Amino acid sequence: MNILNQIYYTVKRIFMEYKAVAIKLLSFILLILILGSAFTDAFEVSSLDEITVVCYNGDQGDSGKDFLDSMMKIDSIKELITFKEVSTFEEAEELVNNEEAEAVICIPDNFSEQVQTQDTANTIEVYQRKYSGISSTVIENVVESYVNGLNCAGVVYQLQGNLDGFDFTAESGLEEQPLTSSGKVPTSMGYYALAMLLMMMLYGAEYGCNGTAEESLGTLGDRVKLSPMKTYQQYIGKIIGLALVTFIQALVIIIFTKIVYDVDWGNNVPLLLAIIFSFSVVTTTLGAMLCILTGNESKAQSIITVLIIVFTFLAGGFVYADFSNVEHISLSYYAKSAILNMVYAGDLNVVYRNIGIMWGVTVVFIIISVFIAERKKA
Amino acid sequence: MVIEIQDLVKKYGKKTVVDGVSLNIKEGEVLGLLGPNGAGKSTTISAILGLVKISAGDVKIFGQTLKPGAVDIKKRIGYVPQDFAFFPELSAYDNVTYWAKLYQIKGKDVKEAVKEALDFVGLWDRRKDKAKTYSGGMKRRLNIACAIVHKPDILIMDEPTVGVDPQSRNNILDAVRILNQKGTTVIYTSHYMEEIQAICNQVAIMDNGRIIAQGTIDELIHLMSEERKVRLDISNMTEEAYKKIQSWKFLSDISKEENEIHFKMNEQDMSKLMEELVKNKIEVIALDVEKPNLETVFLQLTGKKLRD
Repeated sequence: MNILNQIYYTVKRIFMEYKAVAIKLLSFILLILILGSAFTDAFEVSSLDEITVVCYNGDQGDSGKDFLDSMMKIDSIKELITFKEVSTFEEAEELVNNEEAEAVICIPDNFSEQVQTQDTANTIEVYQRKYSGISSTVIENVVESYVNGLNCAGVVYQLQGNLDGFDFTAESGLEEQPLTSSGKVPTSMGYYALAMLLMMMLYGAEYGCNGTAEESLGTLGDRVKLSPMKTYQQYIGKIIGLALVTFIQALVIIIFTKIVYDVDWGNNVPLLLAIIFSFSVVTTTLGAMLCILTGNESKAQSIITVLIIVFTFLAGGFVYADFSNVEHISLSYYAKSAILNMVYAGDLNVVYRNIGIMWGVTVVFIIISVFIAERKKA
Repeated sequence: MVIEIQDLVKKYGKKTVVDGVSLNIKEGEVLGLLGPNGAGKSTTISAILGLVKISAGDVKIFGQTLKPGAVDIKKRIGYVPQDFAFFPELSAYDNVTYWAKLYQIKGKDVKEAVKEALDFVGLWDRRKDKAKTYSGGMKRRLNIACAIVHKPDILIMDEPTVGVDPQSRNNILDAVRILNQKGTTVIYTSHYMEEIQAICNQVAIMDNGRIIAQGTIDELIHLMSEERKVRLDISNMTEEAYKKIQSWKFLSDISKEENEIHFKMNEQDMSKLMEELVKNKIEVIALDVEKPNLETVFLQLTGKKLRD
């Protein structure tokens, strides 16, 4: 009963300050809109314009011509690149300088000779226009893939004396793969809705800190200690109440972004709620632990502010980035990874594992809090 | 005895904040703990309530040491801290209800208890307003309502009138009197001598962590020397009359200010003074004998004023 009482009044108190809550939620909703709109290009890959490439064949023999001819005949390459043959390198250079072509594929004059002797001193060279961006990457990869293919063919020929069974085409070497198994790709709005949702929920640590400071460090805490309520009832009620506040605020963001921004939060509502609630609890206990650890609300608040920024940054909340294993130190990573896996990848094992990790961390935070609190009492 | 304190010591590092305090508080008493800021009153209160770990000594409430799990004792104690201890975002009604439920009042009794507490402190009409919108005096009264909603046997009030207007102060003092009349034992700390003198039947004066005097107000005043300050206003002030008065050996520290003569004398010599005035035909317009109070007691005991 005391726990329920504690939960009820904890939630009620914060939502009585509805203006502050509304401003907080609105600011995050606005941030989602701004970031989601600003970074649309980074998430949506539009079709590439056709890329023009100039081919200069300086080879005295036939190998250079064979190389270019066979490359130009491959349909999947033709879909990407338009080839233009020139007779001098200067001509090729001029076309690139005039921005009429993106790059030059240059076959050196002794290419055939090298093929015969298997010498690798001089190779096919690709000259690119400065600042050509993604086009140059495409050309580079196409040529590299093609050369690799030829090398493979060479090896096959040496091993079996013919090329029977070897089929070097884009269709056999490449398979179109969607980014996720469900074929869904996060939009920028979806990505930043998730990132800002988690950042907003990290502020739950502030609730945890304030709530703990109020009832442990201040006069109100003295009065509570003198009441018949037991310490564990006070702590559990407070943590659940504060976590519920963060949870409810997260739900508002989720519902709003789903309806207004058309963000895809997946179809597994119970699992989404489980992830969100787990994250709410872990952030709240983090704040409570920091308050108990420092014994000073202001110090704990400062640490929380830094942690919110660091955790959000490492979890790619500000810009989409890959921090490799470093991101594992961010609490947001586990919630983010769980939601992304649930919504886009459908890998429920990762989701359950991450929920487990969040509860594990919660237990660690609680143990540290209780241990420190007991030490301070003694 | 409802509270027994024996040789209570509280140290913070090397600093001794409470130094060997012993107090016995009987049921139905209003004990005033009087002393200047920093005298150790609040620490003594915190030690009684088990909010700080004591360095030495023994504190018993209803014959038992107050431990965290002592629910039955806790239910019998009400605490009004010096700072506001309620939720400013909630209404007065919600605040008092919260404490009522925390003290395990259930069902219909909650509403009745809350109404009674808010009525008692005069906040029932403003019960729906958020506590943060209240004036300082109203907040003080709400602080009290939260502490009395469960009808405690002991009410411990730590400087409950700090920063309030005179009207609210009087309301609070009246409330303490009524609670005491209903049987509540009260411990009241203050550095306002007038408050202690107005409501307390037992007083302990603290300074530098020690109790320097304790007893009823009358007993404390009797601790004072019997010498009194007197102001004599006479109509026929002449140099001869003044010289005459100066010659009376039972007076001391005599000074003159227009028609007024100030001096000190023993209270027992009052009849002698009257006789001499009549005999020497000195016409008296007014005679003031300064009555000692707790302030003067404190001044005499410590050599400093309460609010120094």
